[in-house]
Amino acid sequence: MATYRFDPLGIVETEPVVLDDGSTLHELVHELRAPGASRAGVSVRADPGPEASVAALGPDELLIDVEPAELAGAPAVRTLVLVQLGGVATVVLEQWRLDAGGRRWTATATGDLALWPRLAPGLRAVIATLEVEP
Amino acid sequence: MSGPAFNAETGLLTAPREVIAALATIVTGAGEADAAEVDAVLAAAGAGSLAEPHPKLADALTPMRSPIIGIRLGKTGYVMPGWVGGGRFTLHVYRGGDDDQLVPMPAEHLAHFLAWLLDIGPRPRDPRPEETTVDAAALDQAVANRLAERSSHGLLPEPLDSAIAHGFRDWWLAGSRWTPAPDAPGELMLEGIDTDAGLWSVQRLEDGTTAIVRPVTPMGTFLALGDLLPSNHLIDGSAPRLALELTPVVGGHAAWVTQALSG
Repeated sequence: MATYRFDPLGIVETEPVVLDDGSTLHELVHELRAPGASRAGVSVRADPGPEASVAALGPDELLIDVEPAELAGAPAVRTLVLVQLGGVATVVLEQWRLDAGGRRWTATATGDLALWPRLAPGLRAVIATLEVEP
Repeated sequence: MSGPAFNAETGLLTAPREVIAALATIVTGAGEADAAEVDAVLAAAGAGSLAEPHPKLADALTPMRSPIIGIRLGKTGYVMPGWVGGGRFTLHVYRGGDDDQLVPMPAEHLAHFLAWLLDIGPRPRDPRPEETTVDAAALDQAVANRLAERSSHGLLPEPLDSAIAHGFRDWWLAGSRWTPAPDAPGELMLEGIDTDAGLWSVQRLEDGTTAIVRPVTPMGTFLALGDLLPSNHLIDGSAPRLALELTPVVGGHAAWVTQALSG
């Protein structure tokens, strides 16, 4: 079973919750949370088979940027995507996709757009500490 | 030309440019206009009237009646007025050849909407100079030429010249003004040039004759667009609305484009 670890830096919870798609979400620590449409934090997902690429976009998603990056000692693809949640709020997904240990990893920093300028630096710092193991 | 239309689900009004301008003039309190003509078009579109607008149109008019932030959006040589207030954002969208639209949405959708409207998306990341100082009039001329599908070759230093002459996609301007809290800024202006080689920001210097052009990433541009909605602490909360003289009302062709093309 693939595992990962990162330093939560006091920004996200150490213990994750498992989402419906199998991702694990480390929510913002209580002191940093604010009312919003989404659950802000860092999520990590591992899928079988290496093929890190940009996923297909849904009708309510807008791809803002794609750039090569490096994460966990491996080449990665970093993307910034905006998602409209039912016409109610815009959520930012900043994602790093990489292949490591025979798996396709996706690390995502997420939060409401209105909170993003405040949240993004800390969430990126958490993701920068990610390490994965096969 | 399409006829007037109103989407009762979204509150989007499609109507002739002069009618939406008249509507904005009346609703913002900027002056008098032909209310009877506005009412006739609203009725034909099924949007109610100035006195009794359809509830969705009333939502769209909320930020126009009491704007907290005024937006000016320039794109493809046109400047469009927008208003933020009461948690809503409404923009008078200019459309060449078709009737214009009054587009309403929740205020927090502003950055997402602008990213879509300005086609902010992935661009090449080839190396470009950190900044290029140019003559502002030459830059205006180059952009105006390209907007008119004329050559701009040779007007600017390389590699900016080639980027605009051979890979021009669009020019845009996004500005916002608000009543500032003490010691806070009261406006933000972003100007961008979109090319196949990437996005460029334009900083106009106070001397009026010089501009500095810098390469910017789509991500940085998107985050800057988010700043058009200032944090609450930057806004004077005691001001009932943006002062009338600072409130945008109508738009039109960007004057400098017209000037550059007539020169």
